Formats: sequence, structure tokens, C-alpha cells
Amino acid sequence: MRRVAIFLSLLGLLLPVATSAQNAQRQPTGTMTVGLSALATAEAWLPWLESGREGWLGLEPVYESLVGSDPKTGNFIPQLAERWVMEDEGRKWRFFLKKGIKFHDGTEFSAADVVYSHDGMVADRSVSSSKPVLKALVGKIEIVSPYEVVYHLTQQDVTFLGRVVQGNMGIVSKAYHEKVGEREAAAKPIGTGPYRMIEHRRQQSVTYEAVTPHHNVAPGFKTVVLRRVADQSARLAMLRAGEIDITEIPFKLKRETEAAGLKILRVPGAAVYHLQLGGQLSPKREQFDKSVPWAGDPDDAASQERARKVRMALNLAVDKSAVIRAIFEGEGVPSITPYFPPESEFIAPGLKAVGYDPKEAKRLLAEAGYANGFPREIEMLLMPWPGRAEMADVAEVVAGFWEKNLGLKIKRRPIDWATFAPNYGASRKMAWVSWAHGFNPRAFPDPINGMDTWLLSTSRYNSVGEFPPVDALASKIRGETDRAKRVDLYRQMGKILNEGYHAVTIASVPALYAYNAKRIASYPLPPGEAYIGGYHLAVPAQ
Amino acid sequence: MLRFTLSRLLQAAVTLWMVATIVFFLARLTGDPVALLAGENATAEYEAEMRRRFGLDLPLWQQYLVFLKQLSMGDLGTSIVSGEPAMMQVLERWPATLEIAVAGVIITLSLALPIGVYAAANRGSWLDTFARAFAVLGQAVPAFWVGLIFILVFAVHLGWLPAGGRGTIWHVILPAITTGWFAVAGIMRLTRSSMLEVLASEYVKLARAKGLPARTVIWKHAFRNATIPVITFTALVVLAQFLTGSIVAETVFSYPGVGSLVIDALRKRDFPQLQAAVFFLSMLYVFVNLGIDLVYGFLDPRIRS
Repeated sequence: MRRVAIFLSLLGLLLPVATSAQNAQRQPTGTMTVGLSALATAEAWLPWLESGREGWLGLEPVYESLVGSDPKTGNFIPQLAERWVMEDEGRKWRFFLKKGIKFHDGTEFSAADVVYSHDGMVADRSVSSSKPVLKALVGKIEIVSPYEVVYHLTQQDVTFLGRVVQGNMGIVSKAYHEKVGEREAAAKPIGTGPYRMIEHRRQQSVTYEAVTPHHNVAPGFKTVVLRRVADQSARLAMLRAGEIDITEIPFKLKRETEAAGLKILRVPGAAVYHLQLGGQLSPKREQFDKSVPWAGDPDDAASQERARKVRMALNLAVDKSAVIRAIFEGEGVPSITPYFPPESEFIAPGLKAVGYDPKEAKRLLAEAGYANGFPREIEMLLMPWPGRAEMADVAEVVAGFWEKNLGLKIKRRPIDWATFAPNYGASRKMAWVSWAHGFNPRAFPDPINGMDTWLLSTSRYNSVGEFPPVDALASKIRGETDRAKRVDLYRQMGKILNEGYHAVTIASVPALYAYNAKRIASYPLPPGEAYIGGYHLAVPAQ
Repeated sequence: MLRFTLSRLLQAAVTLWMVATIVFFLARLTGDPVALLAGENATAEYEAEMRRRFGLDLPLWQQYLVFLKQLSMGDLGTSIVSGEPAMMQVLERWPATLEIAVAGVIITLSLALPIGVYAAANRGSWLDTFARAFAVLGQAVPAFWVGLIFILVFAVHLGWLPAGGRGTIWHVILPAITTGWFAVAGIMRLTRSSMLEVLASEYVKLARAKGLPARTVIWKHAFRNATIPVITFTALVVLAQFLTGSIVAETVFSYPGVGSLVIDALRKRDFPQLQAAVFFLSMLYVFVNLGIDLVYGFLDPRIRS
């Protein structure tokens, strides 16, 4: 325990040296215009008035958190805290704050700002997606001195730093808010981040100007403009016309982008797609139905084995490489588990993706007692996620494989996430495609925080199934301070999911960004990052 | 005339109530805004709290009564996403839509009328053939495709006009033409057929027989009479279309008007915002029609009776 604390503290002391050296190396220059489908959720520039990662993208240049993560190594690095110590086995987290850090208006950062920002995040008016977790987890924040705070958690959590990094917990200036009021502060945000906001044109653009020198990072571009262009084809056209410099592109526009002579930046492992086999619920649930072919009766070992064979057959009947070629334009690799990209250290050595073997699939299905397919129609949801239209396409292709190779009867049901979500916990005798951020050490230093949402029996949006062994491993991870041991626990989790064929794993795919090479020399986005952010990382072309 | 006016006003009010009701119920069929807003980490309790905050926990009929009560006081609610009065956001965006509408009407009329007149005056010529082909094409090709093609041609290849956004007069041109594309075809076709009818009339033949120059016959004698149905069409259909039909152009060209607000509100299931924007656009449409009805009634006593 003590060794971990010392290691983290040393890391906190060493890394500012590296970033200070970086600061001395380059001066920001030029303008980078980023084309986005939306600027933020509400365009109210406070951490608690925006929700989710998309909302954070507009705030990220302005605000800093206590802790960040290194884009190259995934290690925790100081932002506004210079070091930190975990105490009482993760029930208390002590942060030592940097001194002399100024907000963009010149006022000095201190512990009072940390508490004020936390209070905003958990306030009634907050719409932050981190609010439920913070409200439940943080008992109180003690101000020890103007430069030292202690988070008292309601339960042990050794992964608290991961929550801080992923929770969009930007620190605002208490003094500024008290001076101008929240409404004004939301319109003209003040933070300590590498960029200050200089103009906001609602639903059109946000312009930022680099803060130099900055205590933490060295922004490459002097000016960054986020420009809202809702239509993806229009975004690509604007990139070709030189009106924007970089934009995310869907896979279907890849060829057009290349034909236009534009460069494509690939961020590997940004998303992992799998097909959820709904109904793998805890038998304690009212909605549990043991007649679902891939769920089976948990009290009957033979039924469980038949269900496993069904799941294996459903996996083997799908040619993942064909899906990657057809839907993802050849980008990506077959995935091994529903969550971790194949290259992740959380994948146990020797674990392999399920291959394509329609004959074996048919044989297994017959062995499970379904030689002529299932007695009833399967409902396949064609449910795209905002910005991920290909999810419905993948579902359509998988349905085609199942019909052709297994003779299953499938009813396609186009549905929107907002319509489906309220009934998520209801009976789930259906299948649909899900996607997950590519959980890996860089994008998600501690994937368990994401798994709370998607993988445990307590998850609101469980997208694989409810399994006691997975829950037990998650609990162990929460209490394990040794990172190597945590990695091993993740590997065990991946093995359970892989060998139980609980989901139809599809592919780990990159995020694609088309960019103007005359303006941007490089943009080292961390692997696994599913959204275009970290604008200070972009390096201007000379 | 007073009775006629009151009757039309009542009809307009009933129409607006029907629109508000239909939008209210249709919006709620599209899904749950809390599912989108609360995020992935939300607990069931947190989602319930958000529903309470936005009044979405009430039975639908109660939500409707609250909505009607607010509407009767001119309050269209508060945006779920931004937390600001929904109608205020509509009014903030309205000038952008109006820009496209005004520019669109000007561009449409200045293209459609001369081409329609010349096509009729030179029936069977290459210009007439072109005009007829254009009319068919214009009414057959969808606006979003036209918009994208315009971007590729005028912004990407020629570099003459910006591909999107709002700011200068140059930003208005492509969205305005895209919105007016359908109307240009319609008005041109109507102008041509109306002109052909007038050109075949006895008084035009007489004007020609008197030896008046062709230009005078066409523009002074024929065009004036031929424009009556065109003006009616423009007022009734085109104006309303420009005021309300900018959704596609605003989306393709990232023009921040009421049309793109509707799309945003729909995407985020921001019911109050969607209701306010659609109600506002419907109100414009109804008022334009009401105004024309009243003018007709004033000019033609037969309509009043």
C-alpha cells in the first residue's frame, strides 16, 4: 500500500519536469479549425451543465482537473494537483495542489475552488453524467489548507484517480462565479486550461486562444476553432474547401476522403463492437426467461451447456472479417472480448478471436437441440447510436449470416436508442449491436469505471449479461491496489466472456479523422480515444 | 367583413391548437430525453430525479394540461437541454432563417420570372426546352442533394462561396438557392403556362396588330396579367415554404436558424424546444395564410359571402 502511494507521489513530482521542458520547446502558432457534428450538449460552458464526453469536448481546452492521464503511457499525471496520496486503502484521497496557478482572469487557484467545483457537479441543477457516481462516492471534501484537500469516500475505491480523469471534473474559479454569477460564468468560462475561450457563436463555433506559457502543456496551435457542421458529407466538403482542418469521418466516407487526396488519421482501438445476446439476466430477475435459447436454465447444467453451444454457434456463424470489409471498409480487426481491444494488455495471452465456421456452427446448433433453428423468431434491433450509424448495418449483416448459415428466422426492428433505453431493463429476448470505448490502459486507465455502466449486474445499461463471477472479479478489482494484479483480474474477466461466448464479438475499429496535412503536421491522439479532443496535442505544419 | 375576419381568426386559432397538440403527442412518441441526457453512468434513481425535474414523471394527460395552460399564457416552456426559455431560443435563431427566406425569395423570383417569360415568348426554342427540363429536374431532385452538389461545385471546386456557416452575405447565397430550388422550378413553370395563356388572348393579338414592339407586348401587356396567379402561388406556397422549409438547407449548410433548431431538438428529444420551434413555424404559416385570406376577402366581396 505504502509503495503504491510513494510511487504515485514520485510520479507526480517527476512529470511536471517533463512538461516544463516541453513548454520551453515550442510556441503556439497558426489556427486549427475542427469540424464537429455538435459543439457540446447545451453550449453552457460549465462542467456541470454539460453531459457526457461530447459535452466535455468544448470544455476540455478551458478547464483542468486535479489529475490527467498521459496520452502516451496512460499513467496518471498532475494537472492542478502536484501529487496525491491514497490513504485508508482507498477510502481517503489526499491531493496536494499546485501553488501559484492562475485562472484565465488572473485569480489564483486554491482548495476552495476544488470544493466549489465538486458542489456544482453534485448540485440539483447539474446534468453531468458523473453526478450519480460522485454523489454516491464522495462523502465530503476536507480543506486541510489552501493547497491541500482530502476526498473522504463513502467506500473503498482504489480506482478513484481513474474516475477523476474520466469524470470531466473540471475545476472552476469560485471567486469568478461569485463575482459574475453562474449564468455569465457559463457564457464566458474561466479555467486554468491551455486555452481560453475568446468567442462563442451559438450553434456555430467556439474560438479558443492558447495560454502561454501554460503550467502544464505546450499547445501547438495558437488558435483553435471548433466549428459545428451537422452533416458529415458537408464536413468533408468543407475540409476539401479548406474551411476546416480536421474532422471525424464515418467509415463509409473513407474512400471518398482518400480519392480527394486528404490524409486520414487513425486512432486504433477507439471502439469495440459486439452483438449483445439479450436475456442473459440474473435468474433472480422477474424478466428472466430460461427458455431463451442462449440463456438457459442456471439450475440445469445440461441446459447451460446447450445455451453455451448456441452462443458458440451464433459466434461461429458470423464472418467477422467480412463485416470488417463491408461495414468498416477494412479498418479494424476481429475482437476477442466485448470490451478490450485485441492489442490491450487486459487480454490474456493466448486468447483468440472466434473464427468463421458455418458448418461447425450448424452442427453445434443441432447438438443443442435446434437443428431446424429456434422455435420462435428472433428480434434483431437495428439500433444506431448517435454518430454510429454503422451499428444498424452490422446488425443487418449478422442477421443475414444467421439466416443463411443457421436457418434462423429473424425479424428486423429499426429502433432508436432514446426509444429503447427506457425499457432497457425489461425482458430482453432479442439481439442488438452494442459498441464500447476501446477500453485500454491509455484511454481508460481503469476500465472498471466504465464497466460499472455496461458489464455488472448492477449496471443500468448492461450490454452483455449478468454474471456472478464477473461481479466478483469487479469487486476484487475495486479493492486491489497492485496494478499488475488488477490487470490479471481484468484478464480473468475477459477469459470468462470469451470462453463463455456471452456476446458475438465483432471488431475493434479505429476512429478515422480526415485532416489537411498542409495545416496539421501530426495529432498524436491516444489510442482508444473515440472522440476528437486534446486539441493542445495537435502540431501545426510549417 | 368583421364577421369574416373573426371567422378566419377562429379558424387560425383552432389550427394552431391542433398543431400544438399533434406536436406534443408525436414528440413524446420519439423516445426519452432523459435516456440521452443522463448519460451512461446514470442510476435509475438519478433518471427518476431528472424526470421529476422536467415534469416527465406525470401521466401524459397531465403533461398535456400543463402544456396547454402554459401555452395559453404564451409560455412554451424551458428547454430540457439548455435550461433556457424555449421561445427565446427560437427568436434568437429566427433572423438567420429570415435571411435565407428573404434572399431565397429574391433569388427565386429573379430567376424564375425572366426564364418563365422568355420560355413562353420563345416557345419551342432551346431556352424553352431547357426551362421545361429544368422545371422537371428542379421539382424531382431533393434539396439536400442539391445543397451538397452546390457545396462541391461552388465551394470545393470553384472556391467562390463558403461551404457553410453564417456571417457574410456570401454565406446566404447557397442555402437560399437550395431552399428556393423547388420554388424556382414551380414558379418558372407557372409563369410559362400563364404567359402562354395570356399571349394567346385577343388583347395581346390586338397589341401586336397595332405594331407595338414585342418587348412592350410581353412585359407591359402580357406579363402584368400573367403574374396574378404567380403572385398568389408565391405568396401562398413559396413564402410559407421559405419561412418553414429551411430545415434541409440549414442542416446541410450549418446555418443556425430555426430549421436546424428543430433538428437539434428532435435529435436530443428536447420536447419543449421542439414544440416551441414547430409552433412558431406553424404560426408563421397560419398567419401568412390568414393575411392572404383577409386581403382576398377585402378585395373580392364574393369570398366574404
